[in-house]
This record gives sequence, C-alpha cells and structure tokens, in this order.
Amino acid sequence: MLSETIRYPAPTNLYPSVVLGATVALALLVAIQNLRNTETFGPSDQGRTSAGLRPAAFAAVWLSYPLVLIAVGFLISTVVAIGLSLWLLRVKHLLAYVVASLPTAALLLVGLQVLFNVAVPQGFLDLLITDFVYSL
Amino acid sequence: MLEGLQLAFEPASLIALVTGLALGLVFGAIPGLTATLGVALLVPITFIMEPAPGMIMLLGVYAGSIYAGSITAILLRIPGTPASIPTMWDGYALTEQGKPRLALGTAAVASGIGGLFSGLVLIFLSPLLADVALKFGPAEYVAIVLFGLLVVTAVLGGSMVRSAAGVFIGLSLALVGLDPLEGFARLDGGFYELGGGLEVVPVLLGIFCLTEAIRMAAKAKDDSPATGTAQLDEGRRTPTAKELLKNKWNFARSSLIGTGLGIIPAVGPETTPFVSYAAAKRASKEREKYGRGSIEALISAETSNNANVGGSLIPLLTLGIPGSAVAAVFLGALTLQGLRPGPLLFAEQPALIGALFTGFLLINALMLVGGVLFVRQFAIVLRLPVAVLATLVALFSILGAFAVGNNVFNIWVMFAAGALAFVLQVARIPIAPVVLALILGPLLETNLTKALTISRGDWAVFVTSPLALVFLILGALFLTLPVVKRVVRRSWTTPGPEANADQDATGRADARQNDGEERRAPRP
Repeated sequence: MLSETIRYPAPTNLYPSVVLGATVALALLVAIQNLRNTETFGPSDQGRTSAGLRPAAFAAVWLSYPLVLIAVGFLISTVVAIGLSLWLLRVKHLLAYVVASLPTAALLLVGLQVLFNVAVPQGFLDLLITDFVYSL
Repeated sequence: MLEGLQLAFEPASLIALVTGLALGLVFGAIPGLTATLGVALLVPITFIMEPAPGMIMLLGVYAGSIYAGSITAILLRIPGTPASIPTMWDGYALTEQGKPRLALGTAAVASGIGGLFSGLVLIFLSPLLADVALKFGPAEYVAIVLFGLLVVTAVLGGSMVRSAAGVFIGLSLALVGLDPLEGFARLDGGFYELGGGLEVVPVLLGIFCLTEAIRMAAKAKDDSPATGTAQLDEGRRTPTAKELLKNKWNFARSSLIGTGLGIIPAVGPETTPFVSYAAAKRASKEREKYGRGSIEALISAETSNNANVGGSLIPLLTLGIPGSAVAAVFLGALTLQGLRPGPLLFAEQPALIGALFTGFLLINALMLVGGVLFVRQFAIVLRLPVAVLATLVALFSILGAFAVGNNVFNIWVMFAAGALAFVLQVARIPIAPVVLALILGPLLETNLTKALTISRGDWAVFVTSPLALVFLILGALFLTLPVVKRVVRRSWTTPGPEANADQDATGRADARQNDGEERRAPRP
C-alpha cells in the first residue's frame, strides 16, 4: 500500500523526493552519531521518562478510552476512565473524585454537544441528558 | 475616529470586550480548543449584535486565546498554540525554579506591550503597510518559509544535524495527503481521513499534551500538588522597572518582528516567536540563560506573539486578505454584517474602524492589567494534585483531538504523534523544528511549485527578487554565523602546549556544555 502511495508523477516528484531523501539521510546520520556516542543515547531527562508500570498502565487506560467511548458512549466511558486513571495514580479520596467526575462528565457532555457543537459518541445515558437539555 | 472612540466605550462594547477576552482565555487555555474554534462559535452570536460590539468581542477572543496559550505553556509545559512553544522553554523553566508568578506576570506585561504596539501600528500605518503584503509572491513566500526553518534550526543550539533532521521529519509529515498540484494521494497509507493531510492540532496534542500527561503520571505521588503551594504566594509577579528598561530594545525588536511578520499573510503566527527568540538570543549578552528561565527570552517570545495579532489584522482590514484561519473566520463575520474589508471599508465605515482599533488597544491594555492582577488565579491549577492534573490533561487532549473534525481518527493521530515524540526524544531530535516544519511544509511546497511554474523552471527566481534574496541571506547568516564565530575564535587561540591544553579543555568543556544543555533542557 505504502509503495503504491509513495509513487509520484514525474513533474511533481522533485520536492517530495528531496524531502524524503534528506529525512532518511539525516535520520541515519543522527542514528550513527547516537551509536558512536552511546553516552548521549537514551532518554535525556531523568524525570521525563520513568520506566514505572504506572505511567504505562495510565497510558493504556487512555489508549483504550476511545474504543470504550464508541462502544458505550461519553458519560460512562469518561467516568470509568477517570476513575481507573485516578486509582492507578493512587489518589486519596478516590470515591469522592469518582462521584465528582459524574456531574463533571455530564457538564462536559452538555458543553461539548450544545455549546461547542462537538458530537461526541452517545450512549443511552448521554441521549437522555441531551434530550433533557434540549427540552429545556 | 472620535465617533469610533465613543462606540468603543459604549457599555455594550465594553461588555462584549470583557466577554470576548474571558472566552478567549478559556479557549486558549484548554488543550485542543483553538482561537479559530472560539471565533467561529461566536460568529452566529455577533450576527444579532451591532457590528462594533460584535467585532470587538471576536477580537477579544482572538487576542485572549493567543495570550492564554502561554498560561498553560508556563504552568504545565503544554503550549496552547504552536506560537507558545518558545514561551514554554523559559516560562516552564521559571515555574520549575519556583517562579510561576513572575513568569505569568512577565508574559502578561510582554503580551500587553506587544499588542499595544501592534495596535498603534494598526491605527497609524495600516494603509502604508498593506502594500508590503501585496509584494509577497510565491518566491518571497518560499524564501520566508526557508528563513523561518533556518532560524529554528539555528536558535536551538546544540547539534545542527539533529535540528535539521527535525525540520525534514516535519516536512515529510507535511507531505501526507493530496498533492497540491495534481491532487493524487500520497503517504496516506490507505486512510482516506489523511486525504486532507495531517491535522496540526491532534499532532500538537499528542506531542505536547499526551506526553506531558504521562510524565505527570510518572511523577504523581499520593496527593502532592504540581508545585509547592507556597510558591504561588511568594515572590514578585512582574519584572522590575530595571529589568523592563534593560529590555527596551528587546521589546522594540520583538514588537517590530511580531507586527512585521504578522502583516505577511499565512506566515506569521507560528514563525514569529521563533524568529524573535533567535534575534533576541543573538543580541543577548546572557545567551547561556536562554532555555533555562530567562526573563529576556520570555519577553522576546511573548511580545512578538501578541504583536503578531495586530499585524495580521492589517492585510485583513485594508485588503480583505485573511492571513490565517482565525482571520478568515473574522472576515466571514464581517461579511455577515454586510461589511466588506478593503480600502472602501475605511472610507465607508470610519466609525466602525475607529471602534475596532480602539477596542483592540483596550483589549491589550486589559490583558496587561488583568494578566498581572490574576496571576494567582491562573496559577491555581498548580495546586491540583498531579494525579488529577494528569487525568484532566489526558481527557482534554483526547476530547480536543476529537473536536477538531468530530472523528475518532484524529485521536489515533494524536496517539501516533505522542509515540513519535517519544522516539524523537530518545533519538535526541528536538521537537520544535518538527512542529514548525509540519505547519509551514504545505506553504513551502505550494509556493515552490507555483514559483517554479511561473518562472518555467528557472531557479534564479529566488535570487532575482530582492525581498526573497534578503530573507535567504538573513536565514543563511543565522545559520552560519555561530559556526564562523567558533572557527574564528579557535583560529585566534595561540598554539603551544599550554594554549593547546586550554583549547582542548575549552573544546571539551564546550562539548560537555552542549551535551549538558541537551540533557538538562530537552527542547520540545
């Protein structure tokens, strides 16, 4: 697929060819520099990339959020994602946060749908709230 | 003009001004919500308003959201707009040093001064400067885009090879989508959603917000806030008069660069702060402080940022040429009101023009005062536990990416951009050139093709145009001067065992310094 889409007709292929060629050449050069100087290779900021499991799990939660969002709608998926993410990060008073996340998500839903015209995927609960708001 | 002043000071206009500014601050501060979206959402409301308050409200949203982009950049290392990236380098460094109040206050003062300067230029020099915008053809656009890319390569310091690699990676990403000349799909991997190219907002959210959320998640411990609460109450919140005076040329230069580049349609908003930052660094006696919390650097980036807003209004109002997406929406709002921007607008609606100009000055004055007064309120976000902040940033990043085109595909683009940012960080390739090249890539390609088509393939077109030649020479100077300086400095060192030892030590020290610079302050 990529090989098909990478072909250009002759008159317009100069710019993309130069750009892609230079990208490959410079990337190779950087790779060689990194390999030659192994001291400077690797994540640069100590605090920036912690090898812990928690950030990975946190990323996994939010990576799966769009899939759940499509399946069950905005409200439930958002509350679940917030709850899981806070639980993973060991926040104190988790229950309070999760309870607070419900009205927050509902407000976000109304704000996105009604004010910003952003049509987030809706489940049963979302439709109920949106219909209620429009009926007002 | 007097009638315009009266119109601008009417209660309806003042309420619209404050409302617009407040909404702009909200839009600029929430990742994914852009100035364009803010202005576009308010256009239907302005339709039922009188033209003057309606347009003043839109100006408030525009200027407010550009300024607010710096608030998140300073406090959370999340630039609200690409133009806030240089602000983030020094603003966030100040926050890390426990000076978020000073960073926010300085940004407010610099934004206000830059905005006021461009407002005055708008009032007094609009028709004169509008002619400059007309002098920019395809060859000049190519030259100025190359100038911007060369400047960002030079300004980052460290390895130029890595910066150049970043530029070309960004240009490669900009190739995704339909070819601008013949309209065939390229590098889209079979995803029809990529036909229009990569959306910049999801890419930015992935690169800056998502990575920041994960970084915060790694840092989260119990309920610890993002910063010590005491830091928000201590220390000054504005630069001293001495510091302001010391930066008088910095203010002047950055305002001129901001307004000047703002006049050129489509180039200004993202390129401006990088050029201004580079120029300030070049002229500075304290270059080593750049990227480590320099007030001078913060002033250069923020002043030019907001000076650009006024500059971009010049071609819009005088010629009817929208220089950016926001300006295009603004043009639509004017048209809805039955107004046609161009020379006739000045002759037919002097009161409205006067009100708009006065409103713009008032917006910037209010931003300056309000920005300084509400520093503590802005910084309150740092009191939140890091865990909560990380969760909110992740949530808003995803919703912001979704909001761009109302589709889930952009969320995956955001995740891919986040992964790319991680790879670049591991490979020590700076991210700022990638972002700038991604934004400027389509402009470069389209105008390169146009220029060569017009000149029938003659490359001399880029050196026969005086404007293009000036920008190319300036870009080359930015890139080569540091190298030349280094060579000259080395050749002046006296040879001999002791001198050699010194030179060696200096060389190694330089290398260590560069290396350390890269390690300590990985540029975005």
